[in-house]
Amino acid sequence: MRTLLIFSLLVVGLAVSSQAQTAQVTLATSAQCGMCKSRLERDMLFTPGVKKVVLDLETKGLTVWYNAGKVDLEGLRKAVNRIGYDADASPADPAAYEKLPACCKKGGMDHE
Amino acid sequence: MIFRAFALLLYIGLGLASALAQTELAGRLTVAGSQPPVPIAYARVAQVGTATGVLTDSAGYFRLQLDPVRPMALVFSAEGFLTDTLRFNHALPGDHTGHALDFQLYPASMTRELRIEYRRRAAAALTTTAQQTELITSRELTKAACCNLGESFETNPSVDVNFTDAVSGAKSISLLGLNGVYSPILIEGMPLYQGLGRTYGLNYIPGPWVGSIQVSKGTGPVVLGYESLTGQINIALKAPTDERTLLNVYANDYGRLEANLNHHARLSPRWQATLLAHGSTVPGAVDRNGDGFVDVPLSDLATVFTKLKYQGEGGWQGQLAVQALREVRRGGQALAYTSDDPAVVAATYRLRTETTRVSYFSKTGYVWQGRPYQSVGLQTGGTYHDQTGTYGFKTWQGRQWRWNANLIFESVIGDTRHTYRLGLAYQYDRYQEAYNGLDVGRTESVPGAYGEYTYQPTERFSAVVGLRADLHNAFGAFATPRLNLRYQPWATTTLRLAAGRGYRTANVFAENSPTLTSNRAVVLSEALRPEVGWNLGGSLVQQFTLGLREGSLVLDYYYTAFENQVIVDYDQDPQAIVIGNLAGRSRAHSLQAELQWQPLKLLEAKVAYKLYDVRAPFGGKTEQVMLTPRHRGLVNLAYELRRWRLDGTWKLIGAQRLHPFAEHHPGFVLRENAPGYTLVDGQVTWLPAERWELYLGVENLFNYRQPNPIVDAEAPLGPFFDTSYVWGPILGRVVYLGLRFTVPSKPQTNP
Repeated sequence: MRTLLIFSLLVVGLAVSSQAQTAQVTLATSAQCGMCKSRLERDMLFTPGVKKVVLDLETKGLTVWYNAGKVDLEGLRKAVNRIGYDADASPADPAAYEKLPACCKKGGMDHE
Repeated sequence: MIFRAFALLLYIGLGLASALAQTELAGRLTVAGSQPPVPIAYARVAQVGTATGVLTDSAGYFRLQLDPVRPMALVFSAEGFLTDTLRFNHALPGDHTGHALDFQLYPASMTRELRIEYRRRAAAALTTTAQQTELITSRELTKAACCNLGESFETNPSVDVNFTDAVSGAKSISLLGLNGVYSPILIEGMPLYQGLGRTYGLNYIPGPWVGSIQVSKGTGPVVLGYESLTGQINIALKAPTDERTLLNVYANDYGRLEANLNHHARLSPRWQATLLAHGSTVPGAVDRNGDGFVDVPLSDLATVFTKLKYQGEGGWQGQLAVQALREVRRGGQALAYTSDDPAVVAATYRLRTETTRVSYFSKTGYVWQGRPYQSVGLQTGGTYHDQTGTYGFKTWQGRQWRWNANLIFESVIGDTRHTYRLGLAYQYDRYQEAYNGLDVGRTESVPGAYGEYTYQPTERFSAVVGLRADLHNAFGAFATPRLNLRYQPWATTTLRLAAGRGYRTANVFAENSPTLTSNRAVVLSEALRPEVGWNLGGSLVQQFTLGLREGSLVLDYYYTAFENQVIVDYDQDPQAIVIGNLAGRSRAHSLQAELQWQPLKLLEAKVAYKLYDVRAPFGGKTEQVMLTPRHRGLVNLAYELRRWRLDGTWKLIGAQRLHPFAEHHPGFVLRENAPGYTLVDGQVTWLPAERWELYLGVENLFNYRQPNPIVDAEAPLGPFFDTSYVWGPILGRVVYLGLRFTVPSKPQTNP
C-alpha cells in the first residue's frame, strides 16, 4: 500500500514537473504523407527536450511541446531538417532528404 | 501566438475583412452515390485545427461557424463511413443562407476489410465497436518474437495460453478463465479451425503471417455463428498494405529453426495476390529436466497460404484463399531418438502424430450501384483435416470434412441510423474418429437463419440486437439471441454491455489431450449433449491524458453460466477421466483491470490484473476448475530508441488447483495446489538499417520449471503414468535470435 502511494506520488510528480516548463510551438514543414507523419512524430522525440510532437497533415504544421531550457526554436528547426524536412524557412538537410521514401519527397503525393 | 497573428494578417490581406465576424457555413451530408440521397445523421463536421465541431441532424444538415484563422478545410467523419476532408481555397463556399454545401461520404463497408490505421500505441482498446474488442497490432506482435499464434498472446493480458499435457507440446488458450473452445478462432472472419484443428491449431498459424488480431470479449454478432460464448479471436493475415515482402529467420537454443517468407503482388489494378510460406523444425531430442522425456516434441512443419483478391467493376468484389499444411511430431522418451538399439527404442513410450490439412475460404460481395449502404455477400469455407496419432499404447485417428456457407444481406431502414443484416447459414461437419480402434465418429448438419438490427441514433450510442435460429440434425432446433450495447457519455469514456447465448458440440479427444497421452482410462459415462451457456458482461474504457501523454484504463467483468457443459472430470477416480454432461452448476466470473500509459517519453507501460472464479462439479464437489489460477497479473514495458527497441514482460500466475490424489500416487510428490509463480521475458530489437531488424530475446529468464511435469515418468506403461498435471513451464529458459527483412508496400495511390 505504501509502495503504491509513493508510486502514485511519483507519477503525479512526473506529470506535474513535465508540465511546469513546457513551451509549445508550431513549425511549418514540408511533410507530405502519413509516412512523414509517423517518421516526424517518432524521430523528433529523440531530440533532447522534446516532450510531445503532433503533425497536422492538412496544414503540414508540426506542433512541438518542449522544454525551453534544453532546446530552443532554432534547435527544433534543425532537428526537423536533420530528419529530411524543411522547417519554416530553414531548408532540409539534403542528405537526409535524399534518403526519404519517394512518397515523402516534395510532390510525392501528387498523382495527376 | 505569433502564428495566429500571422494567419490573421494574411486573412485581412486577402481582403475578407468584411467577414471578420465568424462565417457560418451550412450544408448537408449524404451517402455517396445514393439515389435519392440518403442522409447521414449524427456525423461529425469539424474545421481542421479545431477540437470541436458540430453534428449533423437526423436529416444530415449541419451549420458550422468557421474560424477564419484556422485552415480552410473541413473534416467529415461518421461511424461506418470513411473519413473525408474537404479543402477550399481562399474564398469561402456558400453563403449565410440555405445549405450551400453538399458533401458525401463513402461507407466503410465498401472496403469490406477492417482498416487498421497507424497507431503509435501498440495495442489499443477500440472505442467504436459495439463488442469489447482489443486490437493486437503487428507492432505488438513483434514485442515477443512469436513462432506462432499460441505465442502471439504473450503480451496480451486477456488471453492465457496453457500447455494441454506434459508430452504432446499442444497448447490451448483460454478467455475469461474458460477453455478457448468457447471462443472461436476465426481466420479473417472464417471458422476454419473449429473441430479437430483446435488441438495443434495454434501452431498452424505462424506469427509472421499475422497482420493483427482482434480479441473480442463476451458474445458477439450472430453473423459470425452460434458457437462463441466467451468471445472470439479474429486473425487478420498480412495484407499488401502491411508489406511487400517479408523474410524472417529464427533459431533458438533448443534447436528450433524457422523460416518465413511473405510476398504480396499487385497483378493488375483489379487483382492482388498474397503468398505466405512457413517451414520449421525441431530436429533433436531435448531433455533438460532429466525425466527421460523430451521437453519439446521433435517436429517438422511446412505450410503455405495463398490468397487472391479481386476488386471488380460495378460493385463486385471477391477473394479466394487456400492453406495447405503437413506436420509430423514425435515426442515421448528421449531414448527413442538417441538410442541406436531397435530393442531399446521398441520398449520406449513414443508419441507420433501426422497431420495433413487443406482449407479454403471464399468471399464474394456485391454493392448496389447508387446504394452503397446495401450489399450482399456470400462466404464459404471448407477444411479437410486428417490426423493420425500413436501415444504409447493408445491410438487415435481423426478425419474431419467441414464445409460452411454464409449468405449475408445488409441494408438500411430510411437512413444510416437504422441498419440491419439478414442471413442464411449452413454448416456441415463429418467426423471419422477412432479411439483405440473404437469408432467415435459423427456427422453434423446445421442449417440456420439470422437477423441483426443496429440502432445508432448518435455517434455516442449504438445497440445491436441479433437473433439466430439453427436446426441441428441430431439435437434439434435452438435459438441464439445476442445483445450488444455501447454508450460513450464523454469522448474519453466508453461503456459496453453484452449478453447472449452460445451453443457448440464438443470433440472430447481433440480438446482434451490427456485422454490420449496419459494412461488414465477414458470413461464416457453417457451420450453427450451440446454445450449451451449464457454470457453476460460489461466493460469500461477510460482514456486519459496525464501531463502531455495519453493512457487508458480498461475494466471488465463477465459472467458465464452453463445450461449444459461437457464435464471432463479428473477428480472422481485417480486412474480415469470421466466425461459426462453437467449435473449441477457450472459458473465462471472473470474480472480484469488494465492500465496503459507512458510514464516517460517513448516508454509504454501496461499493467493488468485478472481474477477468475470458475467453478464446476468435479468428483461430487463444486470446485475451482483445475489448472485455472484465481489470480493473474502482467506488467509489460516497451522502450523505443532510434535504432533499438527494448521489451520486457513480467507475468504472475497464481496458485492452481490440482487433482486431489496425492495419496493414490505413493512415492510421488504431488500437491493439492500448484504454487504461484512468475515468469520474465525480454527482448532487444536492433534496427541497423531501414528494412532490417535483428532481435535477441529470452523467454523465462529465471529458468522457472515445474519439478515433475509427468507423474511416474519412470513407468510410462504403468497405471500411474499421468501427463495431465502441467501447471508450469517444462522447458525452462529459452534464448532466441531472429532476423526480419521487410520491403515496405508502396503507398496506396488514390485512383
